[in-house]
Amino acid sequence: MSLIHLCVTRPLTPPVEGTDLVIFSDIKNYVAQWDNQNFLASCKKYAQSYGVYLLTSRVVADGYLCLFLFDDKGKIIGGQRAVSLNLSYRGTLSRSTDLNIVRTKFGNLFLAVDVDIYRPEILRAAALSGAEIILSSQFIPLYDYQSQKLGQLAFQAADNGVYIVNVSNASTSVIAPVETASCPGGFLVREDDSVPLFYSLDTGLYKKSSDPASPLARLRPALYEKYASYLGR
Amino acid sequence: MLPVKLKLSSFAISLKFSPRRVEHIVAKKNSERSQNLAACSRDGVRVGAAQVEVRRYRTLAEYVEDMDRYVAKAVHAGAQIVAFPHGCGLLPIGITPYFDTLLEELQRVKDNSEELTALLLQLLDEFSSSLQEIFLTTFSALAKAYGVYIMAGSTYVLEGDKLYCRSYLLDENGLVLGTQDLLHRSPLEKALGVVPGEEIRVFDTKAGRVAILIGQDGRTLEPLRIARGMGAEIILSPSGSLTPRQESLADWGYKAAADALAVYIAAPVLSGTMGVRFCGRAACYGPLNITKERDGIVNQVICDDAGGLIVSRLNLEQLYAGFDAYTGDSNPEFIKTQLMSAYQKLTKRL
Repeated sequence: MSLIHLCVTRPLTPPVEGTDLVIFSDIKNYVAQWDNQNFLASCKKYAQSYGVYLLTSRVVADGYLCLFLFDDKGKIIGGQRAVSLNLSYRGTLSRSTDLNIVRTKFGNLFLAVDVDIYRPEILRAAALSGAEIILSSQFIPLYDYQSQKLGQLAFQAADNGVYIVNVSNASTSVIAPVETASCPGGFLVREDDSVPLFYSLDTGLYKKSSDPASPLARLRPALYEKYASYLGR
Repeated sequence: MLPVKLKLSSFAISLKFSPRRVEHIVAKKNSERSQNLAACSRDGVRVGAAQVEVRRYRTLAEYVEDMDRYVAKAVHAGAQIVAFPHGCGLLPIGITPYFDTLLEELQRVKDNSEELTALLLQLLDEFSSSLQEIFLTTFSALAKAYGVYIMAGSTYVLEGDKLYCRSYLLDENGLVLGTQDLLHRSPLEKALGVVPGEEIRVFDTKAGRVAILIGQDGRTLEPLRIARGMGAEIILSPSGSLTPRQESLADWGYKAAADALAVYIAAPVLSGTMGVRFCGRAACYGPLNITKERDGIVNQVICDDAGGLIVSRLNLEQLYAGFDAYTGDSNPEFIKTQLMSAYQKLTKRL
């Protein structure tokens, strides 16, 4: 499917008609562990009743900050634990070393939990593992919001040959790995703070598998393995 | 006819050049050796990045004197390290008497990658050795005259039948402290048969630990992480972007790397037009939260179509304090497991 009808909306509020994939823009930092069963049950019902795929808010489960993806039947088809944490969560939440690529009718998805979107090594590992679209859900207090960081995401999209859908409590951006006349800098949507926000993402703009000059083709894994001890410092 | 002209040009360059002539031109400037390295302090390292405007140098003196102007200006502003752009070593080619013919030929074939590759190979075959000698002698003499470190951009070097894109770091006595070869080649460099480097080096200087990453190496996660892991605090990234898209991606890429890895990146560039237009602005980048405007830019040349120079004052101690809450958490276990396994899979695919 090359056209994905996305809707970014507040948790559990109805999506715009015609939506395929809903992403919750939550004004809370996360759903606490004690509330996660209720919240996930509501998400299941939401996906079923509107017949949409759903990327949840950030949820604490088993001590990890997580994102879950429901299909349009209300079944959880993918999840991801945060690999890195906002430093204010260190000591209360754990970091994971998992990396899950969710294969869907929209393409191969990677769910970037909160600040994982800012870690280039996580996006690189996801792209090398087959991710085509990165769905990112973040919480940023408004006093900490920095537009500058979006440019970094545009670089990551181009550098890894992936689309990035970045949703925070403050704004939504949709970024393509290539630039066209209609999307300068690769930004299909840039810092749009409207909610609900409806956008039809045409992933046909760029197909990773058919790109002979894929940005990943230039990488030199043997060289990196030689320096593995420094890479992980 | 062109091969004959190339041979004649190459011969003419060799006649016009001798190390002694370069030293004589530099000596004539009566430059005073600076004391910039006498009092290096980790909270105030000064790094210069040149934005070199490409132009035709008709004589050896014009080239040497122009490079001298950049160094003199940087040293006057207190620079301890002065960095020059990618491809800086090719600039003396204008000295050749048939330069206009070469430029016309380059213009003619620039959209045909096969013809362009063939022509560039001919040029490198004829000129790389003499150009390298001019380039290295010039910057060595300047480093010695001014008593500062110079990262002399990059040039293409033929060693036997192997072609490398190489950058040099010269110490305050004009001696080569180390070299760094290009690691990730552009499609054109691949077609030219440039051999990629196999080593990533970090150099101890009086002004901090320095690595050189040429062109897109300086925006590629892996060499950056490796250099940072080896202790580099300042990455010198000689650049020579060609399109506005590449320019904006480079700008974002440097910001992303400086922020995620807590490192300073100084990016000298070429600017102006000579056959092709060179876009870009020389800049120095740092982590967002320690840059004055919180935009990741320590300093940047204002105009992108002319020559220019910035000298940035870098506080190396700040790299180890005050991590950004959003980008400050790296997970080494994830790198050891998931990222290394992804590379292994890629190795099998390649």
